[in-house]
Amino acid sequence: MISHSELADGRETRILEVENLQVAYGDFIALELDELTLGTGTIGLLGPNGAGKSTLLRTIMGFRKPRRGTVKVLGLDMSQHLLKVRQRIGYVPENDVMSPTRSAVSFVAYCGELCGMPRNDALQATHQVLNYVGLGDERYRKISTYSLGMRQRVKLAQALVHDPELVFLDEPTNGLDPRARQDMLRLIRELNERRGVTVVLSTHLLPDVEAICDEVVVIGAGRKRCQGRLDELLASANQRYELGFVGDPERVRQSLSACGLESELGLKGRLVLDLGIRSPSDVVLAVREAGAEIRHLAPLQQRLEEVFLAAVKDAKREGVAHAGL
Amino acid sequence: MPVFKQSYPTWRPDRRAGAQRTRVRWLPIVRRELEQLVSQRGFKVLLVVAALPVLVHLLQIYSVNKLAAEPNGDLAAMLRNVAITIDAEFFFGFLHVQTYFVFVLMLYASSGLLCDDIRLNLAEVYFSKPLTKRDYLLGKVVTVVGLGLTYTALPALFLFGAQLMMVPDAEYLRANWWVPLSSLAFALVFVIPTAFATLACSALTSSRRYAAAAVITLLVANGFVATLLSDILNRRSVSIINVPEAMGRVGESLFSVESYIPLGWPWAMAVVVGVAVIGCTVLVHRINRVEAGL
Repeated sequence: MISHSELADGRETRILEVENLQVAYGDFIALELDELTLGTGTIGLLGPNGAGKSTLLRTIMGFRKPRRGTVKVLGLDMSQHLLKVRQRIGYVPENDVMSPTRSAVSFVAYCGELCGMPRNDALQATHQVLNYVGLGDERYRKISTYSLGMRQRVKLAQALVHDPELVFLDEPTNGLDPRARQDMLRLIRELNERRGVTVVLSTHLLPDVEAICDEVVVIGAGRKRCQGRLDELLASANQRYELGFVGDPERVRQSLSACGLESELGLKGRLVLDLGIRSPSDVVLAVREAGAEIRHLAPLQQRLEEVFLAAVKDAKREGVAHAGL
Repeated sequence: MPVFKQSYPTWRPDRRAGAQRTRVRWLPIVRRELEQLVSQRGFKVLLVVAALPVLVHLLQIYSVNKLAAEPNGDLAAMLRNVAITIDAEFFFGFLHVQTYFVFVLMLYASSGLLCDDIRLNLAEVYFSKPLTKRDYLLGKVVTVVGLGLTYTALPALFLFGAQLMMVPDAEYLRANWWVPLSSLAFALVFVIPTAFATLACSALTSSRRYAAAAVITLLVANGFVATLLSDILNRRSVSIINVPEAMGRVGESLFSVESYIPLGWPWAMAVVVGVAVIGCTVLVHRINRVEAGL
């Protein structure tokens, strides 16, 4: 078993380095990243539909040649070491994968053989990895008879059969019912915690990222909008406070404004303030000067959704028409 | 056992002796495709049917060499009256007949090889493995070409060997030593363009039925146009644009058989090579687009 620290000590800690990358479909520039570096852990790649997430994954996998720029995965340049990199990574595509004639065992073992595993090793690993993803009893059935949740597990199994160090998952919980989704997320989280596999999860489902990711990269209109550890991003968002008071709202806003605190009207007549470098005691003083009485002052409970919406707001302004690529 | 208590084995190719196997990356594709085909009943039936001409020709060789050589008997007399000679034309005739059976066999085998992978999004999974597009295509092409040669060149060599075993001296070998080479060459002339053309149709369509229908439609259209042009221009040589005719013309040259098409074999060969090149180009182009997700 490889622990997280061993991974950091013995292997590349920077699993992905992208520089000056531009990917285009004809004249349309789908992705333009000046810089993107990802470490180990569970990383969420967020973005609205058509933001360029799948294009980024496809470029990283070597499916699509960039117009310019470099992509290094696990310290290896993809343009020179494509097969070596693919030997060490796994990929779960977004599209549904179905083999009408093959069982899960046959399909996953074949994927193992394509990775260079000897046949017996591939078969042995297949049985174990199918058990691991929870398909133990059903693995001899044809994939065409599986439910969507089971097919997602088969896709994950084929990505894990050759024991990769890094796995890219493109919308792995799409179309799953709540229970299957929880199982899949737990499996992904466990993959990183117990196996030391770095997981890059591309999704537009923010609760999935909140549930399992350590780090988040937000992409919008083909550009990186923000990146950071999830807890840090949420903490920075928590500089926004909600203020409830008894008194003249206009006088309170003027008093706050005089202290350099801009406010906007929130729910239930409350004000929402961005404190920035100021402290809550400044707010208390400003409200008191306005002759009002504070009833409520607390950090606004922000979710990743608000961080995400703030990050992609600029992308919308740019008005770049990213059409589901 | 709960899922999160289980695990799977660690595998590092550089620490394993089996890592050497990755050098022939297309081999698992060939093996897996052949296993898939052989597991289908329809394919097994076709394999048996395609073997029938081999048995018939083997029987002819035996009859001519053994039964007809008997000094007495009605059967021997009857066989002596039937003008069968085991010469180059005999082997050409065998291969010519065999091409019809093998065409159906190859069409059955190749029509689903690529369209299923593309339609069911399997290609994207395969390309995420340490496998190049060239390996992927090579695996598919080797499967179909290997199958075609197994039912053309291999039986021809077998029949030639059987003939050698039945003749009393080495005179036959001295006179016909080139026949096995011609058999192999003719088999390649038939199998390679057929494989590329059928695989190209498979790559361009969404199901094996459509792929098979596309191949047959192209074949019929090709024959129709060739016949039409030949009649309109009143020139028999124009029929060389009919691909089966062109293949046959090359075969006639390889086996020194008189041809009714008054045109040199290089022209016929150009048509055959053209079909292979077009098929190969379409294949590569299509697979490039599939990999890029277009």
